[in-house]
Amino acid sequence: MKKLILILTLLFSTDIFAFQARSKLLTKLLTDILHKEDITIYSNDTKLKLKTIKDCQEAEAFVVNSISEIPTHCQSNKKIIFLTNYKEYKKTKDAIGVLFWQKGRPNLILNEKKIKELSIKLPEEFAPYIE
Amino acid sequence: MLSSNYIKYFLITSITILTFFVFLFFIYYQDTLENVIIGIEDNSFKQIESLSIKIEKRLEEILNSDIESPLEIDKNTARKAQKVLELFSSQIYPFVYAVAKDNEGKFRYLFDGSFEKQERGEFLQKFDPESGIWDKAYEYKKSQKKVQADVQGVRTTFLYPVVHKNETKFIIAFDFSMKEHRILEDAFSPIRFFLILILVSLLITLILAYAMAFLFYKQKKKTAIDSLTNLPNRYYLSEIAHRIRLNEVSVALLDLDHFKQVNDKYGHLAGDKALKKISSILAQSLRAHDILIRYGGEEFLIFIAHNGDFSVPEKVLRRILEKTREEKIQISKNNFINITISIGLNPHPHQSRSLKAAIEIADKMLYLAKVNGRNRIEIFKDSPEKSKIYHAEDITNMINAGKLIAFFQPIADSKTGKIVKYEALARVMDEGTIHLPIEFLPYIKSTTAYRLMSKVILTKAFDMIKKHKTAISVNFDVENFLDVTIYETIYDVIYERRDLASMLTLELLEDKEIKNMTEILERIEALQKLGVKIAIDDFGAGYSNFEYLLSIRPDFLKIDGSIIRMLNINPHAKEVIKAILQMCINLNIKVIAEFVSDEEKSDELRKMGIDYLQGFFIGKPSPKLIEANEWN
Repeated sequence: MKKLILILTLLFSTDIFAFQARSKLLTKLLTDILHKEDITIYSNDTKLKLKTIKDCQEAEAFVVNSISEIPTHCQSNKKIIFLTNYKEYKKTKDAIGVLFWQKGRPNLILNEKKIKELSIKLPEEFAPYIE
Repeated sequence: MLSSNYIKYFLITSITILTFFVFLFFIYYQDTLENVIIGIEDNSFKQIESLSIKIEKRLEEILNSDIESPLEIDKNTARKAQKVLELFSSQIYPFVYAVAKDNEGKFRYLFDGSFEKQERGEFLQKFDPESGIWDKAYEYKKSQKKVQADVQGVRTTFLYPVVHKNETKFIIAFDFSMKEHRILEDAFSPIRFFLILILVSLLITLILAYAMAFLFYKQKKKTAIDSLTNLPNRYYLSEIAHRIRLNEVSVALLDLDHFKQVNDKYGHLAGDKALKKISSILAQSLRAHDILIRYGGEEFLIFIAHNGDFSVPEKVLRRILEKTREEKIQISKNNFINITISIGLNPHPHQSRSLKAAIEIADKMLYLAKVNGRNRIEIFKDSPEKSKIYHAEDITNMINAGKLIAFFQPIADSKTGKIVKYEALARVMDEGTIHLPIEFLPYIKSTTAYRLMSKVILTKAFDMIKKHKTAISVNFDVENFLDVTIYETIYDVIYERRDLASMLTLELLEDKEIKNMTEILERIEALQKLGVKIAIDDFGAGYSNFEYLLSIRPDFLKIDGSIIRMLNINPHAKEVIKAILQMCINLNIKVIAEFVSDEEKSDELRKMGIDYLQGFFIGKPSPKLIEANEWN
């Protein structure tokens, strides 16, 4: 029976569901960072089902693979930048965090220095991810 | 032979059992498959455990004393250790890595020899474990395994804690996909699909079968329950008839007195209200083990359990009689009516040869209760002399044996005092005793016996008309006119003797409410065309209604005996008679008063202007025509 349940679980564990869960986590994180329900996000990551806007100048947060993906005229903005690639995250000091998948698991790292710099207060539940 | 009900129950039970067994088999199949998979898994885990032990030994050699604090090793040592893990990673085991807990309790990568380099974690990179097995492996110092679904498919994680001086230093982890699951499940999926298909089909059939059974039960209940009174009906009686133990119950038949008048006067809605109220009184007055059935329009059948005490049913019925007498039934905002009931009781139905025969006796008693003035109980006394019960078959045999005879009661002209006509009355002569219609008529309604009796009485009446050149009237319950065979018999006899038809009067009475009046009226008109005269019998009581006065033109109207009987007792009776008389004068209808039992009544009625008189004072019924009379 355990296997039957597993198979049924598998049927519903498609990429769509995984990315939706990831998007929800990210949206919650950004909402908590900005202390707002309706946030404007600029992102070129089509897999993430985020509510995004096209005009980067209007964006309050950026969710991109690397800093270079942010249009040049918006790069100077001191906005919330969230990356989806760990190696790119390691290269920059501007990102507030990174959410990436490794070995089929989601990994979240939040930049302690950046959080302090932007005077962001996060809920206790994010404490294990801050470094 | 099995009844259709038993077949339905058998089918539903069979499908239920079959579904249950197929479900059990499905569970058994799944369990077996699971055990096979677990066996394969166990084998895989044993292999991985032996690989983990080899890795542990190699790493211990490389780390040496650094094993005490693996998070503090230098990068060179880390690289060497990673090389070891790389040796053990493959497409089968794509992720082989080691993690350790830091001082804050966070897991961090030590070495990662995963097959694909981009999936490798960096030395000291934070690692987010997705389940509690990592902490368990650390705490319990024992291997842990977990099979779970992820975006890629079924992922199996095997954790091997490296323990040094009784302390877990780090964990060697294997993440891999167990493809055997899929292969095995794919191989057996047609069987599973087939089983699921059967199970679903059976479940659908079962649901449909139960739904149909439920609907059937609901419909059956609906068919067996009278929608107006919520009481069981005749259909219900036919369903339970075989279960009724006649030696344990008494049978009573109840009828609402003058119910048609309620319908005529206040409308059918009011009639329905009255019926519901009486039904409620009956239901409340009976005990749980008594059976109450709405037997007909305003007739109720009751089986009263007596438990050996034969006085019980009578007591129960008298209580009902009292309650109905006292009850004022509200039929509209300002109108209250009082309805009485007549009851016929057969206390010993077990003495009858069947339930039908037992009910017939109760019906006979009910008829007697109505004849004797209504609002009363008549109880069958099981004395053969007094209460011999005739059945349609007996009557047919007696008619064929010539035992049906006609008596003739004279009807006199009140002005001249001369006998001008006679009413033919049916009698049965059996074993030297003359039996009145109430003893046999209730059982032969709408039967061949009734048709035969009608034919014989009409023939005798015509013979008498022909012989004595006098008018004769014959009594008919109009309900029988709805029976085509009976009506055609009457019509045919009259048609054959149509030369004498003008001397024949058909006295029509209603014993029950007639629904199809149009048909009745058409048939009466057809008889009128043959020259027959029509009299409305028992006017002012029972069911004789005004519709006849509106639709056909009767020649005579016979005032009900119950009104005539009250003539010297109740002053209102005289007023009622006067009113009827005036109406008949206006409509040019001759009036007959029956039950004229004494001189006083005779004089009074003559003075009032009644056209004809009938009753014992004029002359008793006799097999021969009475030509002289004593009153004049």
